[in-house]
Amino acid sequence: MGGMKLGQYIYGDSMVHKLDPRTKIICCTLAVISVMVSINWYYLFFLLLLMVAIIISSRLNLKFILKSMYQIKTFLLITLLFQAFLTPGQAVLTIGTISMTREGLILGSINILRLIILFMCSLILLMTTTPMKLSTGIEYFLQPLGKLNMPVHNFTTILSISFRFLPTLFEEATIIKNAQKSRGSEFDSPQLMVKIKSYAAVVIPLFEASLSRAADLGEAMDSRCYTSHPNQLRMNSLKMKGQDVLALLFVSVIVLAGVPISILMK
Amino acid sequence: MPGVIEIDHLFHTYAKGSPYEVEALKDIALSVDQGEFLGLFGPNGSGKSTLIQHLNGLIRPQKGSVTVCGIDASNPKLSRDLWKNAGLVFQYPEHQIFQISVYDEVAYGPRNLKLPEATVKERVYEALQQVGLIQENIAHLPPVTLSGGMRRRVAIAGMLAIQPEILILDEPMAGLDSAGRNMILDIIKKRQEKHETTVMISHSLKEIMTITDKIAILDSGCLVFNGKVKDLLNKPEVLAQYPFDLPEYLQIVYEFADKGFDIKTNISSIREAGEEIIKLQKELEQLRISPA
Ligand SMILES: Nc1ncnc2c1ncn2[C@@H]1O[C@H](COP(=O)(O)OP(=O)(O)OP(=O)(O)O)[C@@H](O)[C@H]1O
Ligand SMILES: [Mg+2]
Repeated sequence: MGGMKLGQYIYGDSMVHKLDPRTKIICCTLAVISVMVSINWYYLFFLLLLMVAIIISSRLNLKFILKSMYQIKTFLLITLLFQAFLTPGQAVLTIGTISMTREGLILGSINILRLIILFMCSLILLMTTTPMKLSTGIEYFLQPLGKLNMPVHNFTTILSISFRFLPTLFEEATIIKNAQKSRGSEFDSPQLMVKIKSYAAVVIPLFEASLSRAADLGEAMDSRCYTSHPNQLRMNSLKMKGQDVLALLFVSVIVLAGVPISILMK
Repeated sequence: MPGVIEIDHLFHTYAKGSPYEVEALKDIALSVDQGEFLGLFGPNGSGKSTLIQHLNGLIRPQKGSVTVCGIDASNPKLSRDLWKNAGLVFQYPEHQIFQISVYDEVAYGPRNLKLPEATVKERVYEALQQVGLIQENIAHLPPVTLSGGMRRRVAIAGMLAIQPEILILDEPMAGLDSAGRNMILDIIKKRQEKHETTVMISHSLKEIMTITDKIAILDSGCLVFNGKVKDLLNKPEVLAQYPFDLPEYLQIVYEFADKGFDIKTNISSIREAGEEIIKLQKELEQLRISPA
């Protein structure tokens, strides 16, 4: 029962909150590309600091984000170990026939840093943009696909409905989990089988509820004559302002300058 | 002698430190004795569900203390097993059903108690009988084939089969037909006869007043009343906050009193109300016959 969910939109009026969703989507994409391309430590650290600065300036709860990052530590550790053992190079530790290499450790650490940056970047996007704005932004970028007869509006409708129901789903999951705990489910049992069975007791009712809700929603949409037309009203409400141009310029410079520098410095 | 439930200076805040911070409980002090029935009343969002989740260890006290059956609920090691002592039936418990048959669903709790299968079977049938689902064939039906109200009964049976010392029901009556309500009243009555403790949340003062002698009212996280129904009737300033939740006979009597008629307002049954109104009528007639 945390109350606040990771990635949930947090109301705010910071500069980042006010940016156009399209700006934020482009900036995130650029950041992802630069993180993927660069393997320079300094550049990655610079990006990490930038993310932290953005989180602080948009008044998101940094402690909460760091705490939730700590929860995926196992995943990060496994990434590191795999890299460390599977990369050929100078061995530092040998266990049986496989050995941990210096190169592997470095590559692994870089990858962890990359994952952390990507994690923060996507959280900033999700936590400062309302689901409605986010899906409108995505719809805007998918528009060209509509020319190829792809059902873009259906896709974005699905997207915005899932954004809408994700928090509800989490909330329901918490309630059902608590209800099963009240009947003695052991979610923190050391035995894996017991744990899996306990989670089945949450997933099954949750699934059932989601399916019946989906059926209800479909019927409600049908009965109100839902057809997949582009939502011009929503689309036209998007407006790029001066701050958007500034933000785009800033991120482009960082990416355009940063990537060559980090490749050259290698 | 301390009660089976002792709550003292309890506070609870959701999402502390975020923009969504909610103070759900403020300085609650409450105690329930063995064998007592406590009705918990309050409007939506007043913190009732939050309060009772403290009783079976789902929420640990942030500030203040909660003791249930002598167990300190703030101790994480002890509060993990609190579910065996305090059985909590959630609001809309039919949404938590997941087993493939009614029998397995009701047996889930007792099996988690690691009871032998023979005892489990005994308890399952006893619980199904208590909720009025005794027919042999129902036990082996898949729960999805049952109606909402029947599923509610199955879910309640699932908790009864654990046979907890304290039974806590969160809005058990919502959405049930009169037979369903009677079933719940029966369960409560049987528990009272056996001197077992029960806590029930309800949105209807009327409902609580017909069952219980002890009532607690929560409003915006504060305990605004805690005591006997008789004492509540002497507190019109508290009752006036919930005019539409009162039993109809009280609404009528209060209306009379409001209009300036001399009528007793601290009555607790429809019969008493009738007598009072007849008395009033007679007095009025006498006035008409012999105008002073
Ligand atoms: N998981 C949660 N996260 C954040 N806030 C919560 C959470 N659960 C409840 N609240 C808030 O705490 C307050 C009390 O909620 P609670 O569910 O205890 O009320 P209630 O009296 O049971 O209401 P109802 O009659 O509708 O069931 C409400 O303002 C609610 O919005
Ligand atoms: Mg509630």
